[in-house]
Amino acid sequence: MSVVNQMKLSVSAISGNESFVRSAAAAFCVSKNPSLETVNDIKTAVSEAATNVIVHAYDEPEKNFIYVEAELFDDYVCIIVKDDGRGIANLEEAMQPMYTSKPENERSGMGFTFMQTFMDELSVESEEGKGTTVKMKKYITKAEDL
Amino acid sequence: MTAYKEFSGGKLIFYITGEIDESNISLVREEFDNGLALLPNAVILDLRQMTFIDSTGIGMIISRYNKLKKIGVPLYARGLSAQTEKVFKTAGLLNIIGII
Repeated sequence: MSVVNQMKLSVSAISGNESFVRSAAAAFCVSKNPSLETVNDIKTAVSEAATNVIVHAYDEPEKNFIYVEAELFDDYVCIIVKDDGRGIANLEEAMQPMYTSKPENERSGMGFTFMQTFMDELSVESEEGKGTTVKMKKYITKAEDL
Repeated sequence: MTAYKEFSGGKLIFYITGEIDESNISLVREEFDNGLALLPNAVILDLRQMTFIDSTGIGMIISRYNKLKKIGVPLYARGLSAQTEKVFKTAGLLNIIGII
């Protein structure tokens, strides 16, 4: 199946951009008439990925970027959220439910769990000093199918 | 996003409207804790007008739930949207917070 649309977006890695990033990712799929649940699932998962970049990736997030790339197909969307920050030393540990490197900030440690639950496929690659790339795939349930 | 509270008869009702995420969670925390400082005997989260929450908001709620549990004060939530309910369910909150 061929790509019908593509998007690349780079914005400052600041928390004020979280809403923009998740809304942009969801809006990118609108031409495929997604159900409200699909839209909300995409928003939630992308918000988690963006939060990780903002909170964990950079020493100076305001001087660095969140990169979002998306490819839209007829019945699914692939969304990549990446950074070129410090990377994750122990990815297996980071992806454990309830694990957080910042418990003092009242973080739930549920970010990757939410991405896994709300999307259909998730893969994460990270290299120390180079950055982290989160790839997600979501099948689009059409609004009229409900 | 707005967060505000009502306190009467020992009961705290805490309202959150709009989208909560990393950009405004500290405001929500502060306002919630101002309410908890009134020493309520029950706390209700009114989420009818909350349009988005992710794990950042969940972390804030779980932390408050744990504090309240230690002092025997029940925490309830009402008015969950479909997205909020799915997020609560994924985080296991539906099993520990009373939904009214």
